[in-house]
Amino acid sequence: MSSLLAGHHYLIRALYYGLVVAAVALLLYGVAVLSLILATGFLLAYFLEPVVNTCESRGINRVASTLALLLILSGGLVIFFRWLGPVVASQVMNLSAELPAYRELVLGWIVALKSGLLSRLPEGLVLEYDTMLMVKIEESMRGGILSLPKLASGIFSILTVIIFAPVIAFFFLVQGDEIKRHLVSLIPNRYFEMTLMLIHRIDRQVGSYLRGTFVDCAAVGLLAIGALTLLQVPNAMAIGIFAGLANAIPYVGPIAGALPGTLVVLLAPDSFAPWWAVPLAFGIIKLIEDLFIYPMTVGRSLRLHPLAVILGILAGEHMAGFLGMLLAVPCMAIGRTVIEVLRSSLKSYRVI
Amino acid sequence: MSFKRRSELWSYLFREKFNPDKSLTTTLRKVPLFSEITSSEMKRVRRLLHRRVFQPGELIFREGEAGWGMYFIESGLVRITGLDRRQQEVEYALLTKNEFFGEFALVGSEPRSATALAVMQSVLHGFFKSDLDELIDKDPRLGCKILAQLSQVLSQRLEAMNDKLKLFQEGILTANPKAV
Repeated sequence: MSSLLAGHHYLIRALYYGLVVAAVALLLYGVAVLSLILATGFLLAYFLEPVVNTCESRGINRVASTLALLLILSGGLVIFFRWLGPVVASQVMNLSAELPAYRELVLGWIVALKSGLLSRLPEGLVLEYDTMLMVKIEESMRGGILSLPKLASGIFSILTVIIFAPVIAFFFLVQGDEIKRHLVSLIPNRYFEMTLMLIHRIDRQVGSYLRGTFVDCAAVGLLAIGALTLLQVPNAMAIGIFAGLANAIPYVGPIAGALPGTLVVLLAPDSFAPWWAVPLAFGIIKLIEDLFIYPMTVGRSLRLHPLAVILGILAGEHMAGFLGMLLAVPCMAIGRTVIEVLRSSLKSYRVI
Repeated sequence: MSFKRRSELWSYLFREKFNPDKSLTTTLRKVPLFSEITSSEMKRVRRLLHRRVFQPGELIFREGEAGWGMYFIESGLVRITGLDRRQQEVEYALLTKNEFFGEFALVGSEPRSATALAVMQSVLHGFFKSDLDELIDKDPRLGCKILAQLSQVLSQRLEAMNDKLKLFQEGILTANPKAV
């Protein structure tokens, strides 16, 4: 038998490597298909890890604390979808139904602005930009309206994520260290220490940034919902949630968050609050966030130059729209940490 | 069947199966860092370690490189060397089973003060800053125990160094560290 196999030595080797390549390709395909579920599960594990670690440090079994935490979270989600979900959904529908009116309002502003500028700039230039702007606004408004059916059809995939992401998070939380350890064990001896430290630093920096941003956004969202409810702004919950989400984008986020609320008040003729009350409320929220919330949550975990952040956000928007804007800053933080650690390590290892 | 053969048979029947975990625990028990911890805590420590196999002549780390942690020798032989004032290589120690090295990197941020090289095929277990941080996060009690033991080891090293310095100042010790 062995002599028979010896003749086909190369064939067996090729078959083996072929199988390995096929398995890796299948794995990569699977990762690509399940990327949203995996990413959500990974993020969930990132957010919950400090809580699980605290439970473990107090003697509670890691598996038990992870299960309990995920059950509490699932309970919270059920409550949200049962009671708050329909309210938010109806408010989002209301807002989208009023999109044409907002478009008219914005177009009115542009016309007023144009008439003001017309006397100061060459006519051709103003007309060119005016037409471009109109087209852009039309496209974005239409995009917003057309995306609603897409949003409805996407509910199924959202449900899949809600069901499977906690399962992924469970495994990441319970066996994450073992997975990491196994992956690190594949690194050659010479670069193993450096890789280990690189992963550790990225994990600490990005983890603290993501967790801090999550708490920061949740606090801003809650404050916005509270302020808008006090000012009796219609669809306060949907606008507040949007403001909280938008807050994840540095510099641009707070302005984008305040805009829908202001537009809603401007459009409501019998509004309780004057139009300036909403920007003022968002200004106060921003002040509270900058003075108290941000230093306690995100703090200096980012250490990126403001100009670099702005350029990164612009590049992110260009590459992947709103999601790109959200992901730009954490990606830049990862990139900076990788370069910093690699530079110092490769220098000390005399590679560069 | 001769007596010798019979004894071989009995020892074969009642032989102890090789258990890598037990072997590692025996190694770790001899390391002062883990001498005070309980069996359950030892289990936890074992899960944190990184097993690495170095081939004869393979570099473990070089003097001046960034260091992130220490190594325990499960089997094999490791040579620790450094450069003297004339940039000539000096052997500081030849370490074998159950010994450890590189512990300064676990707490300090200074580059490695010596070079470590595997003389023969060596099985080492690495314990790094990231592992210690993780341990302090998840089990502060155990983390503190290890830190306390580590500070004891470091203070002993410092005392030994002071003694050597005194001898050196008194002219008893020569520049070659192997002389003592």
